[in-house]
Amino acid sequence: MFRIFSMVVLIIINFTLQSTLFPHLAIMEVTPDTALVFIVSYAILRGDIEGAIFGFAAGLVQDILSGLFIGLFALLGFLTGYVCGKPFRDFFKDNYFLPFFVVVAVGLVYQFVVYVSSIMIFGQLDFSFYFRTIILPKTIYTASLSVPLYAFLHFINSRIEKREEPISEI
Amino acid sequence: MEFLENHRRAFLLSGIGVCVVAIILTISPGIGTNIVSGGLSYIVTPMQSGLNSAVSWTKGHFSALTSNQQLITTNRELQAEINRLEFENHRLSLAAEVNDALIAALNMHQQYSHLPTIGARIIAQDPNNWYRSFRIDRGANDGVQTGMVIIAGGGVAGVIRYVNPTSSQFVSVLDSRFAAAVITPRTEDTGIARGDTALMQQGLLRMDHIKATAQIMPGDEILTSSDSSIFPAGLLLGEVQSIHTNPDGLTRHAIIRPAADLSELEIVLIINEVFGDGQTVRDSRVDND
Repeated sequence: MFRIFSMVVLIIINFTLQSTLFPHLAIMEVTPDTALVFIVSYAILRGDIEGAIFGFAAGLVQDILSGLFIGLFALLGFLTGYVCGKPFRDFFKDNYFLPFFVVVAVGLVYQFVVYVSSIMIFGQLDFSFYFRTIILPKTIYTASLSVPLYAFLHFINSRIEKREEPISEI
Repeated sequence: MEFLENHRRAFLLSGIGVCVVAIILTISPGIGTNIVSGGLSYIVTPMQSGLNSAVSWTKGHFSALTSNQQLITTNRELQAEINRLEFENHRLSLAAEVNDALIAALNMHQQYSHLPTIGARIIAQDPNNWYRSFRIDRGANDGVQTGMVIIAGGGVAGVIRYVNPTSSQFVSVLDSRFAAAVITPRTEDTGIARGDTALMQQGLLRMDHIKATAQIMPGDEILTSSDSSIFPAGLLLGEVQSIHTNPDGLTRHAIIRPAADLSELEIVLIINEVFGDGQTVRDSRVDND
């Protein structure tokens, strides 16, 4: 229960920051997609099922805020969480650089799907331009934030796990 | 959680299914979106509003510290500008008097000189980089409706697309979902102005479907035309920056600099009247094509 509550608060704070503060921190006109970092990190920490649920919730909030049709980011978040949670289940969770590489790989695919499903279908086909000006810089910017954000989420997660099962540590 | 672990495939399929159904239900705007986003906006809007004030406060204080010299120069320039504008204002008010007299003589209606407007503050931007839409702190409770026109800096800045009880979202003129029928008053050439994601980065938009024989030139003003299904005719949209001939050689397109400066938008005006049939931006694009 406490886990659900804290994750909802985390998602809402993240998107509030993403839509108000981050436009002022834009580098080369792109803003970091911290929601993606949280989805990937959460999936790595908690596995595919919870990762998918978290990704779905975060995507749904982004859908509502960005005002395109509802469901696109929810679907992307759901799949991202599921895909990232599956292979990294048994990885060493204290490795802070694992999410960096996962975010780079996932971010490129994720942004590409967003491009195809919300830009290309309206007839803007200049892929190399968008790759240079949005997809690549956004992925790099996002990935560069993944180390501190993963560390932050890892800290919160370990606190919640301690609270949930205080005896199992021994 | 164990139940889900055991029914992994069903979980995956139902998650995808829910999303696909949601996309299909909401892909034509206005059906399902308002129910969900209406509820959430009660939580998110006050937070966005407060945080945005904090951000602009901090930004304002930091820039005051760092750019003192720049402020002095700007102040001097602005003083000169005020003098010039006062002179010009005087000249224009004389012209307006003459104009009023002429209009009265011609018995014409000044249809849009007394448009009712409400002010609104920008509280948030679209969190992704593909679109340029903004959220403002006025919603259905203040009488905002889908399809109302947003004015900033003397020109059209966008169109309201979604309305929640306490906030609403408008699509700016740079957004690739924006399209409007436009006209150049000098040469009466018509075309379709539309946002373009590539030009959006530079704060520009394009005007398509210009005839090869058109006399349009850089510097021409672009106004909304009476063909538009959402805009009142004669609102300033921007100024032609350059003209390009399309590869087919039969039509041309122009690059337009909007009159509203969208990079530094804080306060906007909403024209408190719906001119079209309240249809959304995407529908109007289909009409115009």
